[in-house]
Amino acid sequence: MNTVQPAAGATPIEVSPNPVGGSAELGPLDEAMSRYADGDETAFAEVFRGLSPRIQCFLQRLSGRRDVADDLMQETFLRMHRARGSFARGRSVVPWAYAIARNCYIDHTRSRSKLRLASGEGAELDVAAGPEASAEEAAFARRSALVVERVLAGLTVARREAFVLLRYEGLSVEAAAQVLGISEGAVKLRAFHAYEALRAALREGNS
Amino acid sequence: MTSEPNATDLPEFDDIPDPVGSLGVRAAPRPPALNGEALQRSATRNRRVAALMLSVSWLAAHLTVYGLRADLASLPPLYIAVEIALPFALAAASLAVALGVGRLGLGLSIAALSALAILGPLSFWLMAAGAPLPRVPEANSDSWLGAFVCMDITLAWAGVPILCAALSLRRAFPVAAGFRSALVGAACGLFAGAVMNLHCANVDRFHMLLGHAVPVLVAVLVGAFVLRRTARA
Repeated sequence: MNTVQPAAGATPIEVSPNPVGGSAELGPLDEAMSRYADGDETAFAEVFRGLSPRIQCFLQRLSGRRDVADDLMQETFLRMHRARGSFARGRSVVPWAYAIARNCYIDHTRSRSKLRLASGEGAELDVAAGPEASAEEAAFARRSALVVERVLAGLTVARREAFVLLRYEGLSVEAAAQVLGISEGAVKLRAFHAYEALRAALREGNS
Repeated sequence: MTSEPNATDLPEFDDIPDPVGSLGVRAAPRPPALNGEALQRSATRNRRVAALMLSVSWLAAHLTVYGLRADLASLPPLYIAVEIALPFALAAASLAVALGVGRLGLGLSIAALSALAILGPLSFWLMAAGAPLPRVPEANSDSWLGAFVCMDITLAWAGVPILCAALSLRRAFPVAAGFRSALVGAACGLFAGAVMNLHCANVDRFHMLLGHAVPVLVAVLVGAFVLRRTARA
């Protein structure tokens, strides 16, 4: 189990190192979800505790807004609860949760009739430059993060979600393709275009 | 000019910073209030088995009442293979692929889904339009009335299985719900079309296309655009 250091005053959150698209061995989260799918109501808290930070961050990276991500995260777990009977036995819960979270985000964008975020609109950043970073390093980190946030917001949903899944969520290409419902080649192409745009913007910002 | 990536040279992304930061940077959120129907896995499985049995019973009962075609014993084996056996096989394959779990529990590949969603109904159409006729069609076998009667019956035969699927596959597909639902629709349509081919002895191509094949297409479209609304997780 990995314990992630939260903000000051908050409760440490344990995140299981569930393999996604790699080893077939199931982790505690997967077993908890399986128990919940079989009717063990107490297992939901364990699933939520283990997955919610990850899903929240994923949704925030997609939407660029913490408040939207919070709402969508709640919706995601509600949908997971309602769809628990369809959770496949012996499979990892993480890709399944990502797929449902993505559906929530897509439904949110459709209801708002917006496929691109307005750059900087309501965006909130949690930039982590490290506890021992100097003021200059912190400022550089924040500046870079702002550039990344702006470029991500300008990308199409398709490119943004492919890049986010590969770069920040740690999914394999295979797993990302499964979550997005596209081919592995399409995932690579979308992520590559996003990466090129981000790298060019960062290079320009640092020059 | 930057070249497109191939299967092996996707660049490392580590030089792109994370605008959100690390996991768990805030206080632990509260879980949502759980409401709405949430069947357990066993209940979901039972519901789906019941839906399948009801659908099979529906088709079997109608075929029993309507009866097998009188010329079944005299049909060439090739005709039986392409007009009856093949639709049944493609229907079963469509259902299996649509409900397949896949390695990550998100279903089978999009390539398999899309290929079968096209291949199944298309083959039914091609066979209806181009399979060698076992005999010369009878007079007036190409009437609109006859074709519409068969079309209405085949649509009704496919309708109940589609309804059963809609009730038993709620929130079943988190990914590619449209393709998977289209495949379920195709399975229902192909089963109904195959059963109709078992009953109806009219070999006229116009009759086969309008009366037997159009319902297969309708079932696919109903699956893709209607069934997906309830099947999407």
